[in-house]
Amino acid sequence: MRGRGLGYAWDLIHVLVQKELKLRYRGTTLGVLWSLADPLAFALVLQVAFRRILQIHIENYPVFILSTLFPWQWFLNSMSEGPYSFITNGQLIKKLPFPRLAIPAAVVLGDLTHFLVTIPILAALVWWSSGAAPPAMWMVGFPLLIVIQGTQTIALVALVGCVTAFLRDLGQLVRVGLLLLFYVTPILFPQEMFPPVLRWLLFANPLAPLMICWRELVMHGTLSPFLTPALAYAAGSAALAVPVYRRMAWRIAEVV
Amino acid sequence: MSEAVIDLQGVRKVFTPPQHVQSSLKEALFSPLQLARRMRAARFLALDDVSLRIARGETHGIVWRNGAGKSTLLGIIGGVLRPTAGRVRVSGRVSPLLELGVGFVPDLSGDENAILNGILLGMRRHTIEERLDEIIRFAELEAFRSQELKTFSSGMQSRLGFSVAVHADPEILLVDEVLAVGDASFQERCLDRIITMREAGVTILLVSHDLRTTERVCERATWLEAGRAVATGRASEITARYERSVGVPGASVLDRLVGGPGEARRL
Repeated sequence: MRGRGLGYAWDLIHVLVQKELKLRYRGTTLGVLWSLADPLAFALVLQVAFRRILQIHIENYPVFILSTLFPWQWFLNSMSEGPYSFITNGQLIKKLPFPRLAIPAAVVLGDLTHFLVTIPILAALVWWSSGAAPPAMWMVGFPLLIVIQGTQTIALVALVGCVTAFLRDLGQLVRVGLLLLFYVTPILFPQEMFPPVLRWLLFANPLAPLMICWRELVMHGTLSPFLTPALAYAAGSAALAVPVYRRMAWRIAEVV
Repeated sequence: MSEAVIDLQGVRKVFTPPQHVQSSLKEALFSPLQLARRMRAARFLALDDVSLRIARGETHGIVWRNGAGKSTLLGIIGGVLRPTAGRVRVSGRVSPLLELGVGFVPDLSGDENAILNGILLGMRRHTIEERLDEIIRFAELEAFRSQELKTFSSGMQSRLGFSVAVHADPEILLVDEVLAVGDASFQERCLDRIITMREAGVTILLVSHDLRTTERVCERATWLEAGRAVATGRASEITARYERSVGVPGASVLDRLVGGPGEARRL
């Protein structure tokens, strides 16, 4: 679109995120803390199911599960709402020529604020279970992984969003896909529990390397060697999204 | 002053109506040829070889009948649509008054909506925050600024939308029927403001069904008919030709305001 600079892009995304957050939590007492409810309830169920019923023993299971469940929730929220964001903001798109990328970016960064709220919980759990403050590596690892996941998610939301504006079934298909993806991503159990014949899924799944990185970082304070494939998937998603966005974004105004 | 800030040459726009573009996955996968054929058959020509030059500081009117391609033309000038063929050059910041308060959110306050709307119109946040008091004062909403927008009357919302748009430092103002909203005194205030902006050198493209307003505000005008610019020239000439062809004397808001057709020019 028109060259208005990065400062303007920031203002635009910021005001769109602010709008979303204000609307979502208007009149609630807990506000943004409500975003913790889903993953915490799910973690509680898993704790009971795995430990008490299935009797599967994984060391420090609450931290183990939440270290990936929180970032997964961020990805899931953005990917399930995001593809429709061009359609729900159709009135704006039809009337004003602002850069369309601001819309998916605002969705992903809005959901990022929810993820940020979960970091103190992870820190407290690590402290409580290990008796020591989280390692200094978190100061590097968290921003790094947030940038990787943010880039990948914005790219995928923009990509799917552009196509969904023309082919509405796609957004629904993606939701089903996410449900399946969850079970082939090492979130409920460690990657070592994947049967050897299915190990390739860890590399074929664009989210698996990233989730392994999150777990390594939170549980052991180290950067996993899976960082390289995680970076490659983020870069690949962006490389795929840019040409599609360039070709399709300006046509969204004609169909929403 | 003769440098063109809006320069359209041979602009053509072909649309496929959205209901034909949005296809089901089933159709896209199993009968793509049929889908392509259907999309081709549904195409229509919204603009056909439109050339239009508007000089810096000029106030230009568009007269048209429904379905002439006016919205498409404004969309292309406003940077929302791209032409299928032809060349478009628009230099300077365009503030579209296509619809007042696009993107207004009922559950946010007047102030919050002014900031959101201003940024969507291309302003930086700090600029709007500096001008916020002035924006609210012009809209006469000082007492309501912190209330949610849904408590505003539609007239109040229009005033806010207009105020934000004129405070966005537009170099080109696209005015589309805004003068048809709000009460008579607000309409008159809008018009006054537009005239002040014209005197300050802002280029204005006015699209109004009210031929008297077009005559009063515009120097030149273009008559758009069935996707073609059939005539361009002095505003009074164009409106007169249009009126003769259409045969409807434009009932004027201005006529009512000044107490009859005496002051406004009758042709």
